[in-house]
Amino acid sequence: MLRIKQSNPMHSVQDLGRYGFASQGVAKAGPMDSVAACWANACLGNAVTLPLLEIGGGGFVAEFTKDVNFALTGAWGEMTLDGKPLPGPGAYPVSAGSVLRLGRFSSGMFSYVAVQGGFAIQPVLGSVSTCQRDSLGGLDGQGESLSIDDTLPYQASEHRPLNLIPRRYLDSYHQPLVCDVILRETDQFASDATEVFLNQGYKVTREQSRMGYRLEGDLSIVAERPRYSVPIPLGGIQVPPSGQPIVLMRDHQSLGGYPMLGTLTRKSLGQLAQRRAGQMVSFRAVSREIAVQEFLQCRQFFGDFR
Amino acid sequence: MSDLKSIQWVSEDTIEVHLGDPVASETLEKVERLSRWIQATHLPWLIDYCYGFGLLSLVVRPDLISAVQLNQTLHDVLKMPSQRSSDNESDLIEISVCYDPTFGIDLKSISERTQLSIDAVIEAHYSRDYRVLATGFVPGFAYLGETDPSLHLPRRDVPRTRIPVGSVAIAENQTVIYPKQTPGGWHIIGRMPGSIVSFTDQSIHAQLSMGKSVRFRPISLTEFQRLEAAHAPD
Repeated sequence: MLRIKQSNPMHSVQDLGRYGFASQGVAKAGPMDSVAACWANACLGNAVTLPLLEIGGGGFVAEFTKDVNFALTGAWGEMTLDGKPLPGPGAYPVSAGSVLRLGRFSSGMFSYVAVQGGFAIQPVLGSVSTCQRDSLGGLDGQGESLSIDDTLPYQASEHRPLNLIPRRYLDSYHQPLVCDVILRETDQFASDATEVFLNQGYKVTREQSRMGYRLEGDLSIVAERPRYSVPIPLGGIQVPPSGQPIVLMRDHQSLGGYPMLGTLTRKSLGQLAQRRAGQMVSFRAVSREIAVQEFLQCRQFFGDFR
Repeated sequence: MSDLKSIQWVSEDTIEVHLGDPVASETLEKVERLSRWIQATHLPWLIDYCYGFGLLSLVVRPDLISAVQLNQTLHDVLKMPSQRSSDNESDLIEISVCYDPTFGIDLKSISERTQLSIDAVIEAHYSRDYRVLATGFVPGFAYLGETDPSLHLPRRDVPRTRIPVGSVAIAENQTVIYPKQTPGGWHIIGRMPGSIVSFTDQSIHAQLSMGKSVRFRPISLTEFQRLEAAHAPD
């Protein structure tokens, strides 16, 4: 098993999320960057739906008590195994007693740690994904994040060959990001809203959580507040009265009372999730057809994708 | 095409279906039919769904269904004869509420703002039946409407950080019951004994869901305490 030696509240158990309960107000949860999370399982030959760890912001130390193959993807920084730096995202064999240390991240916000065969964790409402807001998932089923001395048993698994992640699929989270957005047909905004939104850069602010990321641009967007709350899609871009957008992340509430400009594609949402406060993002419109094509390619490639 | 206002893809896997005016009974009947159908039918293309105020949001497998096919399917469902008949009764849920000022901490301010006596506020609240207009926010939370126009008030300017479980509250043209302790900006008028929602590892049992109606039954503080004790775990 994996024994946690050092942890923080942004370290949690996730899988691809909790579906089927949105009508009752349950959040989807799941990995903030689902592309990086899918790679962690995929390079071990696992099904991408298996439980793994999401490590937000570094500061994670854990010991493997049994030989296993593990994978590390997503955000990168001072990553060491028994004190030796790991060369990059991918799968590695470890022997019993090895210590994995994820120090300060220099690129990105969330890393993913998977083991061959997956961690054996009891699902709640069909998923192990930790959602603190709903008090669901995680090791105890009550939505707690990982803490020191937690032990995570791994599922017995046959040894499968490890897959390399081709270089072209390795994301760097340093550069300014251009997000793809499916725009919405709506009459709740001033006529220049889309133009304002697409033609300026936005700074990621410190107000970022698993529920949403607040962005900040020079010009605000003028919108009417609707009378009723409406269902929110994952990646939805809400505009509150401040005129500064909020992008809704995995733990978002199911209904919201602010008008929505559009929705980020799932890939762009993961990319945005990896950006830290102060980094710049901008947006470009993408047709729904192109977005679906890309989404289905991910689904086909990974076997599932959410 | 008259039954559905519009269908829009809002992301790669999410479709929104506009069903009409959120408080019109016509809309609520459509919602009811669609939700019964969703719950009763195995739909391989459907991953999740959510309903709120005239809008049905469906998370689908875009490789298994197109917007055109979905449009046709929903039309067919809405055209089917209504199955609402014998089980009508179970759709009306009676919920006991204690309107004692111990729980109804905003009754006094509501009375001042609406210029109604406290008793008149309470009576206006329990003397009509409500329908579920939306579910969501947190597990078990349902928006019920419409309340009597004399009770319509905007939400509180400063939301409370903690509202006790079971609190019954009003704001705008709606009333709600808090399924868990959360922050909230609604005006609190009473409390129900026990809980509106229960969990197991496999499921949620929420008493209020799409298609249900609610009738509030006023109870005394003594009866509240008796019922609350009966609900308490051993």
